[in-house]
Amino acid sequence: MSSIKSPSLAVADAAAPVSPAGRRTKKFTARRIGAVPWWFVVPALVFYLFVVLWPSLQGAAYAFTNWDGLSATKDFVGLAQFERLLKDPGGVGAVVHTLLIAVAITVVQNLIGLLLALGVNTKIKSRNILRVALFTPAVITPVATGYLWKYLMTPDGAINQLLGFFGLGALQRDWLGDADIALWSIVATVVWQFAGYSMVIFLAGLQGVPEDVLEASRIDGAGPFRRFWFVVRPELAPAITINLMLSIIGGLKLFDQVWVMTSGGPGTSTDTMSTLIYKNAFQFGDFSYGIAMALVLTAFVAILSTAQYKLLGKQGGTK
Amino acid sequence: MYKKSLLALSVAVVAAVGLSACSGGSSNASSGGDNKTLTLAATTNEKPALDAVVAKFKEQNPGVDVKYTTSALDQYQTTTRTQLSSGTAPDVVFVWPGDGNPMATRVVAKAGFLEDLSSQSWANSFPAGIKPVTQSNGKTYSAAVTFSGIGAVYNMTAMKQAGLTPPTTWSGLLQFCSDAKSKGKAAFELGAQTNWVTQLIPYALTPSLVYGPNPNFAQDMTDKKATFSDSKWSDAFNKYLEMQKAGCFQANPLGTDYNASLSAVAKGDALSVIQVNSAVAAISTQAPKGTELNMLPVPATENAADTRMAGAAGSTYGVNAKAKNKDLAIKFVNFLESPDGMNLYAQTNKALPAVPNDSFKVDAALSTLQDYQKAGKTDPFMDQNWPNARVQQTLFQVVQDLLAGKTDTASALKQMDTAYTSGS
Repeated sequence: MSSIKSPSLAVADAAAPVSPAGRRTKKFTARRIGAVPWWFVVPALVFYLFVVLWPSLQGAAYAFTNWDGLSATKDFVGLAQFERLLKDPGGVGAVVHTLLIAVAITVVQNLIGLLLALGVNTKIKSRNILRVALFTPAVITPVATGYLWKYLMTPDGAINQLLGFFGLGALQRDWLGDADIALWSIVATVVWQFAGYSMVIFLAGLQGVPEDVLEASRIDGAGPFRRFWFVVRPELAPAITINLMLSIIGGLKLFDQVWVMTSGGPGTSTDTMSTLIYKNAFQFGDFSYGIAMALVLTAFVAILSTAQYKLLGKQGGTK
Repeated sequence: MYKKSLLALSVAVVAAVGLSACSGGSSNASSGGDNKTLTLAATTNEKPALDAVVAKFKEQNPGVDVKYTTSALDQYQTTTRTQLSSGTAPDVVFVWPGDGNPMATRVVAKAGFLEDLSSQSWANSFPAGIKPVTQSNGKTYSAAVTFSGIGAVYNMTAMKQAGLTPPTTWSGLLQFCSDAKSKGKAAFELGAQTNWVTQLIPYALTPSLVYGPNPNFAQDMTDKKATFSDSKWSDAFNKYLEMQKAGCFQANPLGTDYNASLSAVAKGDALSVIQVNSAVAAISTQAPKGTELNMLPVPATENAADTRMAGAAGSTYGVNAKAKNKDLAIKFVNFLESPDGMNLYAQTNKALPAVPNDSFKVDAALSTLQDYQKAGKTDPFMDQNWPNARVQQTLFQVVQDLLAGKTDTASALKQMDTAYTSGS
């Protein structure tokens, strides 16, 4: 039996009658833990204000100017940069690619992550080794995995060689050079890297599923699918919410792997909002337009992730 | 009392953090301006040459230290622009000649970040093809050290084994592609996955098709008398596609990057690559000892005498207008512009000196480029006269689209015209 009390027990203890000496102790504890003065947060808040918030707001203000990122002069142009965005054909393509990537990563990564979590949540002997091995790609920097997979996906690379070795030459492709499949090759790389990350979150959720409830459903004759759907899935709701939110945010602002593997090419076939922001701000010398795009992306991510959070919240996913 | 003490402590901590940040900045500033430590930044390609010239400069100036950093092109442009605008850039910075690039001479000079070098003795010594791209509004802001060219770098050892010779006419080039293919080799390895590589074939063809026949074409575009769409740029794009159709390239050019394309030529799997002269050095280091390389013009017409090359100012440096050691920076740039400095730099980077001189011993692989330079049969790299960086980036994109079959010549040129007139 563990000696650590749950929060509810601690509250119950606090409500019980105590001796004068005990009252002093409780009062002291409450002063130290229960009623933390609000201004304790001031140093962190000031730090956050000056290091994060203020520079971000200052940066955002450039979206309303025509600054090129270098000149000493800049003029206020109102919403002109945002109007340009609406007329930019490259921008529309990038938005479509960004959404495709975000949806594909969110669905595939979480499905695979869930399957892996269910797999390593069993009693198999190698489960601990498998958990570490499957999580390992998530600790590698995205740039490194981008370079690794770019190398593997070259026309003469390991993937095509492997396909040839197994007599699957018909499946060999120019994975990053073919404009029709390059986007999906990048998605595959991201899923490879972060499926293990989703797995760990799902695994944490799975380990919180009460064994006695599972046992009861088993006695009641529920098969594996019904047990998953009616017992496990509701308990996993918070993990599902977190995973979906992290993967959709990650997908919407994906940059590193795209830049390393294709730089948005061939042509514009893998351009995302993030690569377009980078190109405009740093390659075209159109800094303020790049910032305007970044603001739109920020709003985009905030709206989609909040909507998703609210939607899943209604289904008990934010408890 | 307790609350007040903590509040005071919080304020003190925040103030201390802020003040320490301020003191860090001032300490950096004072330590840099000793006129004995020069700071410099350039792209990675320049490192071998910088190693050589910096060692020589330090040898000639005892007690002087030169701290230089090199980084990949994208990172260099991003970092250096940020450093310039925040006043923390090195004393000497690598810049691109002319315009059309975020770190080009005119772009940086117009923003007021480059020192006027017009009074230096070398400022008027550049050949006619180079001088304009070192200037902005008639004043010299950058020092061109090398002359670079674009051509086909042939692995002559592999060519001899295949029994083939470099073509001198357009039909000869297509025949060469066919012959190479029949021998199981790629005539021209193309690393079109690396976006800047995509521009090299149009740059190799347009001197003969556009800029040679009409030397005023760049000015005509500036004056809005000419466009890409209504010019022979369309011939250049169509010939690019004709090369693809004729099997001049390996199977997957859009899946092959710059390094892989050079490796294929070094190994002899491909007979040549259309590249900048720096590729000669890069291929040499990978090729078996004794491999003979030669850089030659790419024919675009049926008359070999009409063939021209793209050749322009290559490695170029400017002095930061807010340099902490401005005198030392100018001294270093003057050393680069001396025959000794220029020749050493060009020799190490397998290039030609920006100002031709008799004491320079040209690499055999670059002797044709030097002949074209001396004969005035070269035209500047096209982007050096474009008004903004968007045109070149659009060129990268439309060439990849052309090779992928996602666009046609007319649409590609229209996109370039739009980028040209968009400004930035």
